[in-house]
Amino acid sequence: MKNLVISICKALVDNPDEVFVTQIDGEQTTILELRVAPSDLGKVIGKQGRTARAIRTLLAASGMKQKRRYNLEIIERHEQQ
Amino acid sequence: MIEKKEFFSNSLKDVIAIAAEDLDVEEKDLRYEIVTGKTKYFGHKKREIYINAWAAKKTEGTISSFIENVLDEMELDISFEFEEQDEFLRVNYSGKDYRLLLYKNGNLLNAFQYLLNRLFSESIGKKIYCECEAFRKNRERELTSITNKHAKEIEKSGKPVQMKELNPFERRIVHMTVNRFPELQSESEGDNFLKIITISKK
Repeated sequence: MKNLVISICKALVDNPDEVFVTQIDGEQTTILELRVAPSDLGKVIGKQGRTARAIRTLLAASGMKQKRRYNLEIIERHEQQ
Repeated sequence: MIEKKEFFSNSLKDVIAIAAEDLDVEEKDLRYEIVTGKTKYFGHKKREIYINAWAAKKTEGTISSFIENVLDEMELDISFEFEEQDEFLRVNYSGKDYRLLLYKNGNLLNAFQYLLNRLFSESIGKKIYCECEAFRKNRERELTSITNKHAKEIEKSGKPVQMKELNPFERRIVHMTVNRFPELQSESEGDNFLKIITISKK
């Protein structure tokens, strides 16, 4: 599922090399944390969040088949290291 | 995702020919956007035109492998085929899991359509239209009949009727149906993607 998010987002953004997804598996839920270049944030979110919602719809449908919940979190701020 | 290449020449005709030869496609399969029509100095001879060009056929291959990849990752048992039309590139989905596509008013089908258009419609120069088991056609018929029913009620009672939340495609059908009744008007409310239509007497 991680690869799904990566391949869609790489197609959407201007800086595909800066697309990172971290997968955190829980008991029933999987959290996918998406990080992109700050200038590409708008591209993965879309007008009124439509792109983000479309990706979430894909995840939800796939989750229904696999009996799992997928949660896409778009990380808007790069954590300071 | 789609590789564009810049070309320039003295006239549009020439530059298309150059681009077609370079990209190894026929001219009709070439898509391009004009960057500038620069005029250096005065007069005709020094005019140069710049275009960004790419091959449409190759793009279809890119789209097809993109969809395949996505369906694979989602582990869905769905197949698809392209149908080239004048205004649209139609993608017809079918297969075991088609119900998932149509679940919640075609939510997933709409998501696919939106994403494909975001990614590819510019480069193929037309809209991409996703269909599955005649879903959109049926929805259109269903909405037209609901609207007609409401319209008749309103003509009798004069009371306005509010419809459920609808997406733009569905609202278009409702507005068009209401337009056939000269005494009625329809109005959308809301700021969201989904809006509520009220049908009332003028």
